[in-house]
Amino acid sequence: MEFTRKDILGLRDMSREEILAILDTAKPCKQIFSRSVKKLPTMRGRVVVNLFYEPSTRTRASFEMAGKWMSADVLNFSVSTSSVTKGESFTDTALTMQALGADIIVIRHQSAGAPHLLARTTQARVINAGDGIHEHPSQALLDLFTIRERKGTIEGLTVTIVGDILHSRVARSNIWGLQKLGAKVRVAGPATLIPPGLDQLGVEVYTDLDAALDGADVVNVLRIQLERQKPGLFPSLREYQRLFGITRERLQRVARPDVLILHPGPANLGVEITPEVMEDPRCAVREQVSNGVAVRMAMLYLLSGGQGDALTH
Amino acid sequence: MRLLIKGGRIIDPAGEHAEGHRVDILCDAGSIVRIEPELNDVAADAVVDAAGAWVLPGFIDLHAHVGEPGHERRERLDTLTQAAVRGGFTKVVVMPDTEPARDTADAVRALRSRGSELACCVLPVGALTRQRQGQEPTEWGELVEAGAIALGDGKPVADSGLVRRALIYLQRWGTPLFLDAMDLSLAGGASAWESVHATIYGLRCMPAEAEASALVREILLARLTGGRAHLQHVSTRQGVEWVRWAKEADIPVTAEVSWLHLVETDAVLGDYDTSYKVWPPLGTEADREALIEGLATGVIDAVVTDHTPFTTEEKLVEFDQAPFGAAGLETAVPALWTELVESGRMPAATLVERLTAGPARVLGLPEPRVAVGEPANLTILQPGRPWTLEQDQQASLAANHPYIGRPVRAAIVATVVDGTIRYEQER
Amino acid sequence: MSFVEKAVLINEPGVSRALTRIAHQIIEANQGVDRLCLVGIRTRGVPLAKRLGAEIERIEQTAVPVGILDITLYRDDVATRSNQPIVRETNIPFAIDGKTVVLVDDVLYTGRTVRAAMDALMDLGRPARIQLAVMVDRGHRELPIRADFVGKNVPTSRLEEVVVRLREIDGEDRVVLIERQSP
Repeated sequence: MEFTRKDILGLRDMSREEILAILDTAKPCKQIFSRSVKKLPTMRGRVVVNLFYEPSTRTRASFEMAGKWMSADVLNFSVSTSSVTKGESFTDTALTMQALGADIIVIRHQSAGAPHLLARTTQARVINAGDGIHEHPSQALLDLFTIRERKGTIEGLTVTIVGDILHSRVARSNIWGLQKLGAKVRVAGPATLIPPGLDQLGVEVYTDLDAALDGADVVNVLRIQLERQKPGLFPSLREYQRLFGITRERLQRVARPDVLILHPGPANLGVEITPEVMEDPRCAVREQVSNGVAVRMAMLYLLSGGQGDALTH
Repeated sequence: MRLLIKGGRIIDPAGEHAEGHRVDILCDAGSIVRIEPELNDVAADAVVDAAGAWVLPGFIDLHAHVGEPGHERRERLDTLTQAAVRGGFTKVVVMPDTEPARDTADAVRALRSRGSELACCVLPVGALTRQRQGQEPTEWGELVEAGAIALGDGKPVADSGLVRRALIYLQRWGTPLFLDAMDLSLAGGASAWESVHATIYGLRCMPAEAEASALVREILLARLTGGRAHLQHVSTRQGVEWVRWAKEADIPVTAEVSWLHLVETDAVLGDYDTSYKVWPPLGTEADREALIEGLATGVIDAVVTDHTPFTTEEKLVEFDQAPFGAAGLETAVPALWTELVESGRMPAATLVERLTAGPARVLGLPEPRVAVGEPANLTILQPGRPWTLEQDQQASLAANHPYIGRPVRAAIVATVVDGTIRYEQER
Repeated sequence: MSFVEKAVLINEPGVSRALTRIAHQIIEANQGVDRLCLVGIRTRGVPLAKRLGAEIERIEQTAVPVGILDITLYRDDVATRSNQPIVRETNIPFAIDGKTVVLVDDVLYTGRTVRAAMDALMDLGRPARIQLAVMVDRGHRELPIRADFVGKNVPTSRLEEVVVRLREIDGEDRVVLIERQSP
């Protein structure tokens, strides 16, 4: 198939075929890791702008690496909260990026829907690198890629997402992607961190982690975002660790022996996951990082074309 | 000025013309002077062809916002009233959220004195508290005597004691207290109601109890005091239930619903179009159904535009940072007519009642009629007529109009204010 | 637009004969198969390279490594296309440094695919030399590139299309000339 979408804003409005197209493209992109020359000419002369309204080291570095390995010019543009309060408007920044020649803008923003606004106000193609608590499609795609690589398929698997579902854009994008590729999705977390209406989306909701892990093929452990926690959503980190922490002991007691553990990083070691589990061969956290670059290369490549079809094939 | 309206049919919910026959109507010196099946050989300065259209009492909008003074780029009084008559309204109640707030008798008088130059009648609400801060009371009696049609801050008032005192105090003038019922401690920066859509779109959301618990407070204070509490923009199923409960218990409350909540739901928020970010937020389909039912049965007395204009730069921002509010004066009635009447969900006479007699009762004004001897405030509406409001055609300065470019199947043909044609659509 | 088959350029035995001849030519030109490897360009260069490899092995009794090259990420029309073809894996499980690499493709036309393939190879290592084998050379070159080994030279017009059908992919061995026709 051919990929005809202008922007990648989320997995909810993407078809199964489009998601598979990205995953299939990411596979050959990953080969670059085993090459001595880590450079492809694919995006020569294309300008990718990383427009980040929220601090992020990993996602930004991953997109930057992906762009550079494909020979794009990558410009990192961090908008601090202070320049927003100075009155620099979002659309003004967007049009400045366009005037700088941006072909693709990768945006991270604390407001849900900001990438959609950007996509409407610029001609540049837009990739959502995380918007508020809405979606984080590149993270979910790399999770899907990792599951497919380790398990062969996603169809028919049971995947449990553990943690703060309410504030998690990773969880939302994962739910869409996993369901579209035929997996059964469970979520587990404190009841105060489960958003309303999840059951209407075909997601099984658990507040007991042991039950949620029983029979699960994959566990995606979310980072407890300490900076996002309003007081009172759960009593203490110690209690969270006891009720929802992924430990080797718990895995041995309730999980399948071949369970695959994912974590989007950076982990709060000893809170949502223990260091032993991070180093366990069943944990794919390091692969997730390289898979992230491959998936982002695929996303950039698929959006790297011109808008008009000047060429006759 | 003699005006002849030819060939329309009357809907007059407050009078005897509920089932309209084709009539001609003659207005003179601001009043309706003759209504007869055929008026020929009558000298008139102007003639409106109303063939195939309804002739209705002029609509009253209980709830609009204007930027003058302070935010004239959002909306001025002249553009607001032009938008109003284009939408079929002959009277518009404006909230006091100007800058400075309309919290003095002078400010109320200043607005009242603009009357003759504007396209329709503007009825000011005076602020309940100084600078709408919810703390120090304004001079309530002076505001009312200067011409404030109601008092209210246009935002939730946390201080229950203050609301109680106002409800008692205002009874001397029979003036209603307009209340924006919302518990802000439960609302907490939300821009949507808790629902599956809010979860999907990643919007900060609040439970319907934020509205319901505040509504219950207003209702209990109305029962306690016997004062006239008007509940603004009820927006949830639960809210409608509490208002129904209050009315069945004969508590002196009235209630309104905004037009947008009757035609849209939170499903539309997935585009993050800030024109749909309104206060209170758009509800679920179940909320919309309950609001329509409430309006049809009279639990809700009036439908309002809650016209809240903003400029492009104010609204073209991230969804959660955008201000609340949508423009609606020009499209509210054609949209409602399309969604409720043309679809067969509500009799035309019921919708007209909620736009005329219903709001008049809330304000304590005489119910507008299409009858001989009545003031000639009339709205002529053609049902079934395809019409679309385009950006460059709107009279309002607002950049946040959710119905721009959306086709409807009803159009305002003409609006007559005090016997003068203030708007007539080109045919 | 529709396509009409105008002529069969090479029939089934013709395909086999051409491959056998090219195999002999490769061996002769390189004076044996020492330090020789074959790389097929996706899609139809791949079965052709494998068949050539088998043929060379049959003649020389020595196995020649055969790799697969996907050139999608090296195309020069990425920026001008409105949507992108899907990328597939490259699989060259041997070092190409100092080797003679014979690139294999089905049709040589503008030369742009071969240019992309050479760039891709260079990024994978430093071959001693690169040669090119194609089933059909149809002319209309846009770059200074020529084939070293050719199954058949076919003069064509730009309105025509040369289609190589191979049994591994298409269920039959046949090279046909088709013409685009406006409806």
